[in-house]
Amino acid sequence: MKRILKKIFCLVILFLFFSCRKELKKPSWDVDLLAPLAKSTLSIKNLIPDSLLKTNADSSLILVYQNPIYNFDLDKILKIPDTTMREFYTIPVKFLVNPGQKFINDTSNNSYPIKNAELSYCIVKSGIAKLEARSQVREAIEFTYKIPNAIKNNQSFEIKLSVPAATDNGPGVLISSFDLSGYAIDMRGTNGLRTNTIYTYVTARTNPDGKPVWVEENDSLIFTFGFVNMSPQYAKGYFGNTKYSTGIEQTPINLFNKITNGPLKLEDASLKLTIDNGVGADAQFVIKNLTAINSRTNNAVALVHPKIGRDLHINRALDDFNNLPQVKTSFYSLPMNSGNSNIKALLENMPDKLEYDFEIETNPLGNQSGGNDFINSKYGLKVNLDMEIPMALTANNLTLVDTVEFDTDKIENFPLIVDGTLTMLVNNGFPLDATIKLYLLDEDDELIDSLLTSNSIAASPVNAANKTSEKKLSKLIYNISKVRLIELSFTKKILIKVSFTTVPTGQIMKFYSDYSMDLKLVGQFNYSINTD
Amino acid sequence: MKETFKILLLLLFTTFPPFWGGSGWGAFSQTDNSIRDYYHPTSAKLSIDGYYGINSNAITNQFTKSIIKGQYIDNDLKNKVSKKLGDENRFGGDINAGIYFSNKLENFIGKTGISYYIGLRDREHFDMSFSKDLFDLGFYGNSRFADDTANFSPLNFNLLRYQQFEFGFLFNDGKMGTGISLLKGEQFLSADVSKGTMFTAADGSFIDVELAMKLKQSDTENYGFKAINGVGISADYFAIINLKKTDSTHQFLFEIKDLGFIKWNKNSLESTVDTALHYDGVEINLRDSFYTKNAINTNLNTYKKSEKRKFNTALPVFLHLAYSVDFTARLKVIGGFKYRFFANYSLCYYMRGIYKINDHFSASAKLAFGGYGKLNFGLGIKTQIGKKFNITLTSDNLEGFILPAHTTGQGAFISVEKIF
Repeated sequence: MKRILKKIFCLVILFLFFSCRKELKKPSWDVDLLAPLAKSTLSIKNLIPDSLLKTNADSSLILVYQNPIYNFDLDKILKIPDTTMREFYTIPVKFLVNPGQKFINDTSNNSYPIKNAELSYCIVKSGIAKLEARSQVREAIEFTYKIPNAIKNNQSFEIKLSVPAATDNGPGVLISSFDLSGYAIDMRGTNGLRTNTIYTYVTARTNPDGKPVWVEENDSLIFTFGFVNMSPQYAKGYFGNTKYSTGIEQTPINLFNKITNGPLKLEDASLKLTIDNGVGADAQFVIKNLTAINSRTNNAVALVHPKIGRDLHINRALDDFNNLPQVKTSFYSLPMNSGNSNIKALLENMPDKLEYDFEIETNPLGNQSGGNDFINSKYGLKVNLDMEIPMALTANNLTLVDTVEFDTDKIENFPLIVDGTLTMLVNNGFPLDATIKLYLLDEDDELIDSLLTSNSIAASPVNAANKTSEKKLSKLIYNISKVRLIELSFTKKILIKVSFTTVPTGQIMKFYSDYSMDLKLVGQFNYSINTD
Repeated sequence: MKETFKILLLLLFTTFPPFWGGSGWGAFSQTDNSIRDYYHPTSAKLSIDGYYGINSNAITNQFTKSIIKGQYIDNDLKNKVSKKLGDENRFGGDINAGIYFSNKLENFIGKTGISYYIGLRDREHFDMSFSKDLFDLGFYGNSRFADDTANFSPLNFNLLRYQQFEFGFLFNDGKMGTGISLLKGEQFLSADVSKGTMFTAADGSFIDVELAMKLKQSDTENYGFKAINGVGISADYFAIINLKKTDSTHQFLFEIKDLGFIKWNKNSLESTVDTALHYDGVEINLRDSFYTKNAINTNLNTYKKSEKRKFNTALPVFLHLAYSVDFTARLKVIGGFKYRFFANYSLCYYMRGIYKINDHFSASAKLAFGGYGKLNFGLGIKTQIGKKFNITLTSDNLEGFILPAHTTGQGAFISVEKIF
């Protein structure tokens, strides 16, 4: 027994030796890290899409901006109302009708009432034909309803339906609807001389498999055919002489919407108000008012130009079936510059809205086209502002504000940062002094804290040609305390406020395509190494 | 001169009350776990032992303790280490536990004085040589190297875990012995950085790294005590020679241990990296988002090769030369050298006195310089409990338990022997 105990003793100790090896706990310590975190290069071309920039021969830049102002609704020129055409057939004398015997065979021109327009031709973009048939004949009636001049895929519009026999309880009734999309309708009637006319052909016969039936005197067949929600893809005719007024309307202009402060002085600016007419009708266009509104400053600058309030004659578009695009739009351009208008002042107001009041009159000289006005749904009448602003300006504390997403959850190892500083190294090639303020916002856009620095970005000096030739280095240092780190962990957005002042101050400075600013964010952090 | 030597020894060991007495070579081998200890002059014995030892020329015990215990390492701890660091530094240690049985044969092929032994042992060894810059870079960060280059080469690190089955013979009443061990390789990791620099720009705007390193490691998917990632063999040998044939008071020891290798299997990984890296921040497009990363950094002249294949590694071979003098029947004084090859080891000089107080109790003291550390001081006792049990307790680095914040070595050895 004693021997066994000793052996057990030995084995236990042996086991303890072999089993005492275990995974060690992981230590932690703090280190001071100094490392670049991110870098970026900002040039005008980085900030503004190429489509909005033009480069002059001397590499100076022009901002090209197009802002649509007004899109003329074609419904105002041509609106096809819902309509109903009723055809009423009464049997004059009593007679016996054999199975399959045709007893109605009728052609008629149905007038389609369209206000202010005389259409000769229409291609339906969308629309529904609704049919209701009521029969007092005591046998099922097979009828055919045809619009011979409505053609799609080389086939006329034709429907064949069976109206149930009338009973003691009332007439036989059939209600049905059909899609008219894509049908080209000649609206000139049977003789080809009318307008707004739809030519129909109706036949009716008794059921060929039925029995002979007496059709009583005054028995009737009523067909009601209607067009609903008709919208033309193309229409031709005369659209009449009508005046439309837009009234006082506003449209947003986004060019300056990130600027929140500071005056802007431009060297020059030019603007073209263009009217792109895709409607095949002449028009008289009047700009009654065009005002640039800055909602932030509540300042409004009304456009002053000799053509304001005057009639502008807009030529009709041309319809060319043989070539694409089928419609050759007519283009009217009203150039405005510093010489003939106050356009510079209007843009220096940095508007976020344009207020306008336009008047449009179609066919001011009557039916000059001989009924060949047309509309094509792909083309309308559009009013645009095409701006060209040379990037030569004076800024004095011009402040831009933008917001970027920020989420520390996406930053690897962020929780291990104890405290430190962030240094923004800025190599500035622009003739601009700048200050940057960062505001930390939570998910409700509420301000949590701000990251401010006493330093600013110094402008790159200019040479005799008023052009910068080398970059100027500035350092912006932001202290990241433990408290601020906690705040950063709640931050979901950072609002960046950048204020620019051109240097030398008061001088118009040109901006060139090769100007850029190198940004590098360097972190110097007390960082917790945790080897877990 | 001889008298002076005696006086020095006397001064050294009078600090321990039970005074001098004779003892065998193997009495307090401690870190050696030498097969010299396996010998018993009269009978068979079964012994279990365990040892751990960590030492460095700069890494303090308190620092090591914080690492092992997973504690927070504050600047005070780091500063004490950093002050001690030189251009080249060492850090190494062993954990060694085992059981063996030895038996003296009355007659073996007509000869007497022969014992045999068999044993099982779990071995763990690590060592590294490193620069001061590596420590400072790792524990202080690169801020202090702004506008400067941190040179973290040469760096050599080795970690080895294996188990051994040992058997062999002791001849001539324990004065000579040889044995073979079959090895089961559990884990191996080796990193050799021949070139490693990191330059940090003064304003932190960029970092340049140059790195040339070789990395070898055993199968990373298969780990733990049960893992068999390699097999190997090793040999031990020692001989104690009397300077005069009939006089054993002056003896010379030659010993070589762990002469062998482990062949790691085909799932082992060998990597070579030679790269120059320029990092100046993650390119982002501010127009889109903070998180739009377009490019990361620039690699210059990068060479990287990594393949799974078999390879051999030599064990840290242990060489021991010593000279002993029995001043009295109770007192033996030993002076010698130890060296470990392939292990970032510095030649260790030591002197040890062993005093036999009575037949049941003896004590030792040791003064050593070198190895992984610098100056080490140790004490030990060996006592017999009853007639059948011996217990040995020693430490070669007693200073590590007394002044852990300022000293760099620590270790302890325990063995329990059952005499049959």
